Amino acid sequence: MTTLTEVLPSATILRHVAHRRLLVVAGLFALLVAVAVVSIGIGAVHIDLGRILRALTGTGTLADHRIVIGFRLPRIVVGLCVGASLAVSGVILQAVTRNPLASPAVVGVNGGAGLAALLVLSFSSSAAAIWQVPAAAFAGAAVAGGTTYLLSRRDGIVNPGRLALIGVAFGGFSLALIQLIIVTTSFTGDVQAALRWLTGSLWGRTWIHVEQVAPWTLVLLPLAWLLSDQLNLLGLGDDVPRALGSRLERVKLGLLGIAIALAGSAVAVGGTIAFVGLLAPHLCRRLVGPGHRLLIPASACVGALLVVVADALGRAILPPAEIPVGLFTAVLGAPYFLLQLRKGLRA
Amino acid sequence: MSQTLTAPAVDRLRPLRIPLGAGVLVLVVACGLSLMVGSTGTASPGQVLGALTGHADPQLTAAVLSLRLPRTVIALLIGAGLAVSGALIQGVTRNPIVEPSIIGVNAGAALAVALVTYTVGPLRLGGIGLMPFVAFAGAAAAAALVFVIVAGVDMTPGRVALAGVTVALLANALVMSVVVLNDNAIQFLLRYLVGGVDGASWSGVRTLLPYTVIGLGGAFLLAKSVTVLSLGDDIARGLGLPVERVRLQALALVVVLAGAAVAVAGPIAMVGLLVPHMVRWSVGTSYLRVFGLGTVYGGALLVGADVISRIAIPSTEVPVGVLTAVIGTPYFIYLARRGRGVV
Repeated sequence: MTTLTEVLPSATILRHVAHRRLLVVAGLFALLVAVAVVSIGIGAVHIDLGRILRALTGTGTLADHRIVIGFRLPRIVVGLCVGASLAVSGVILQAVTRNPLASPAVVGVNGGAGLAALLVLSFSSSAAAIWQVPAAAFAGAAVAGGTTYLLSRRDGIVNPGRLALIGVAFGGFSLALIQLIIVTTSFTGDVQAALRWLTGSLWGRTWIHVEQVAPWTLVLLPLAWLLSDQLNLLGLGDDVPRALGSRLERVKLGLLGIAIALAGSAVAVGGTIAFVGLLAPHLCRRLVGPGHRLLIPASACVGALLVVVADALGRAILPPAEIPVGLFTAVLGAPYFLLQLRKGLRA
Repeated sequence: MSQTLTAPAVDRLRPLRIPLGAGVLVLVVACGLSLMVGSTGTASPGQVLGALTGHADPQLTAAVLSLRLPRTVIALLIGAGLAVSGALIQGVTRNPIVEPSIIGVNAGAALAVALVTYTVGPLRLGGIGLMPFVAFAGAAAAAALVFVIVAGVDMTPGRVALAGVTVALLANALVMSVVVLNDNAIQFLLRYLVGGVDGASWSGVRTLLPYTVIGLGGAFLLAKSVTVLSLGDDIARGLGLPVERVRLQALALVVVLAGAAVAVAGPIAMVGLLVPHMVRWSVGTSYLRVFGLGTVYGGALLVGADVISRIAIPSTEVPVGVLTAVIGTPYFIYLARRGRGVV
């Protein structure tokens, strides 16, 4: 005969766990900062840590300053924003669809954003594209995500497997059209750049791109974090939040909007980087548990880490050639996705 | 694997004459159009006949004989091969939403070809004889990977498709990286990635023909076993069919047919998904009929799609692979939505 107190963890243990999880998030953040600084030194021109720090504080040589502040730093800032945005977008999509396989790429959002952005890129002057590309990417992401969601509903139910299947098919459809644009002569842009972007790459990202993506990241990430409680409620099914007085459909739509805007802005500057939005939330659930108050910052850190590390590896392996970020994330993410699929879709 | 293609206990023997006649008619019309339509203007049927018999002006004769005719033949062979390989996979796995591109075969073959092209340099005529074998190896590896992933787990058809699509996505990412890292083969590879039969030549026909003949011949020999297997593993075993062996033989044929198609024209999606469904709908589920009609319908579909791809956008050609993806994806989504037990 066991009593309740023996079964339930005591308050002290719970406090302990919460404490440890908070430490994990802090640790992830510290790791991210360290990795970001170190990765500034990696590339065709190697720069050691002392010179990086001197350049960052404005006391280094002019050449170092040019490379660090002019090229590497904006690139890494873009990487941080893109990785964090994709990861948190994945967190939200997984919560709203209650589908562990959901991520921006899987629900077709990446493909839609990519197609729209490329259309704008190929039909407008590069000067005008500054604000048009992210705007188009949003529109494309919203259309693709909305279409996938509606198509996977049957009798009001969205089956996780069906959502993934239809999203992936929709992504393939977008990819065919993207390839068509690149192949046909109507595409006047740089084919190499378009291909690089298609794989997902931070090559040649500058302060202009930081301006394009950072505002979205800085506004939407805190916003998502403030909605943590709503995201936690969604995990309880549809009835509990309704009973608690949550305006469910409106909340869901708002959250989906945030997820799409995050993914759209990330894809607009970083291209279609696969699987970050799937991997980061899954890893972080293991580290900090399912609560969104910690899951969101942790996922943002891990997503940013994934992209920055993959980018640094891509610069380090075959200089001066660069391996696109999206390749590493695909090689890491695809097997993981398959493993999840094999395990079955226990939401 | 849950049973989704409910094969009736007695095969509905529907009249064959009308579907077959219609298929052949469409095929003939498509081939005729394919010989008539070109970038140098459209010739009349009479002119084409003249060119074929050597009684037209030399320019048109050259265009028809050395460009349009091999292109038509290649589209016909590839369409037939993809349709039959799609029917083979659907039959032996009893999964209505798979086809070569969905079990990763196309992407695997494309990756192998891209890697070899990248390491050995751009393709030359001397190396073209080896390319089909490179493609077979890649196709076989991808298919093996997908089947290892889904083996031993009770997977719904939708999840099998999802696993295949993910393997294909991975292979495509690797292909993209090969292209990004390699400047000199970029245009060639780009065209190759999307799938198209332009730039076809008689040497392409010579490369493709033996494998298509072997693949189609093998499929017809295996048709009876596939029909039995499509009734379900237990029934097939009860009738004394070596189930695993038939499945392996069918997959080998798929690798040969799809691999050869990829080696010559790049990955072309969805022909193998659409055509078997059309055929089963029109003549029932005896696989001898499905393969026979699939050959005709598949050829007609790809030759027709290729004609459309020449005239869809003026001043440029749409790669036929894009066209088939655009036609096929909505149907794939319809299948994914429809089935109870699909996902």
